[in-house]
Amino acid sequence: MEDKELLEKFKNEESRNYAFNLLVRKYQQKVYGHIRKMVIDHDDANDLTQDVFIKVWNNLQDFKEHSQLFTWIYRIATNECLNFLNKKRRRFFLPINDVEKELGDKLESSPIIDGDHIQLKLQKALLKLPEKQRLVFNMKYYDDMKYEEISEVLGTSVGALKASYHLAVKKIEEFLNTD
Amino acid sequence: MEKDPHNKKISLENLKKKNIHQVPEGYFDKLPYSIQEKIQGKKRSWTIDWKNGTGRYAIPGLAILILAFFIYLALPSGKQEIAVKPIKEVTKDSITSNAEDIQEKEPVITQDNDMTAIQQKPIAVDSNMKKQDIPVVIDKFDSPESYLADITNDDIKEYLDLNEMDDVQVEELLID
Repeated sequence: MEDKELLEKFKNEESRNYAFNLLVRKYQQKVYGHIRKMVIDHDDANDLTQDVFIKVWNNLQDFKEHSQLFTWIYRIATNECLNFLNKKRRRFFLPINDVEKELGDKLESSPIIDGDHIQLKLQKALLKLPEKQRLVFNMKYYDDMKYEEISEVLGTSVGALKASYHLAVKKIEEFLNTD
Repeated sequence: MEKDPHNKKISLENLKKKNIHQVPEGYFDKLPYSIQEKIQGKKRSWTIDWKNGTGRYAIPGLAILILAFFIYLALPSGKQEIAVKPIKEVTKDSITSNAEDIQEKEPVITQDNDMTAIQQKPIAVDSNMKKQDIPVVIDKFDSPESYLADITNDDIKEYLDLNEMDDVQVEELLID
């Protein structure tokens, strides 16, 4: 179902639950994947994903359609991730490195698909990037989003995003090619 | 940057895009229901269904509580059952007889310092007050107004003599 149709059904009280159900099924994997890449742990990603869709439920009525529905949802998910990581940092008074180390440890302990260690190394390289740069990389590399869409999500200019992505790729390849 | 077989450099372009994070089986089938449950749960916590569920017992329950409160207020309380005699009802005879009966018990330590052998020693309530004086004092205290009206300088002098105050102090306290 197209986003426009979903929104119309959502605005109608009788079909709201049905429309919302369809919306969740349409975007849940992308939202979950986006969050999971940032927070690594499944349980954390699960909680945040649910929080995102609850916020969507609460605020969809007021959605003005200035942006695409998908980028709006992604923006909520991005903010949830950043808030989560900031809270983690504040709670334990950890410097940035320790939060990334914690995520790296979780990465090590989680089961890897196909035993692909080069992929694990890639994920470790991503954890070394600043959070916003990591977001840009994930959305461009994994989600194949256009720079204009990423710009809507992050509120950053297309030029800045291109520079950020280019630098991220350089850093990652350097890391992948070191022992 | 392309992969160079001699240098074996790794390039992102040549890497397969893989999702390495495992997801529990059936997770995405259950997720929509989990979300709906949370939303319904949040709704329920803010609203009371007056027609169904526990809401229908809320009003009768509240009414019973209010009724019980007013009944409690209307009934004589337990404290009122305890007779508190007004001062007027206390007679002079009862005061004098009680004054005679008052005995303060003072532990007396024997020569053996045996604290278990506590002996009772009657002590007068007021060593300065004589028995025949008690009714006179009581007269003055029958009512506060009469007490204040009846006090004379002689009463004050007598009181002050008993308390060994000097002339200067006496002068200061005498009524003009």
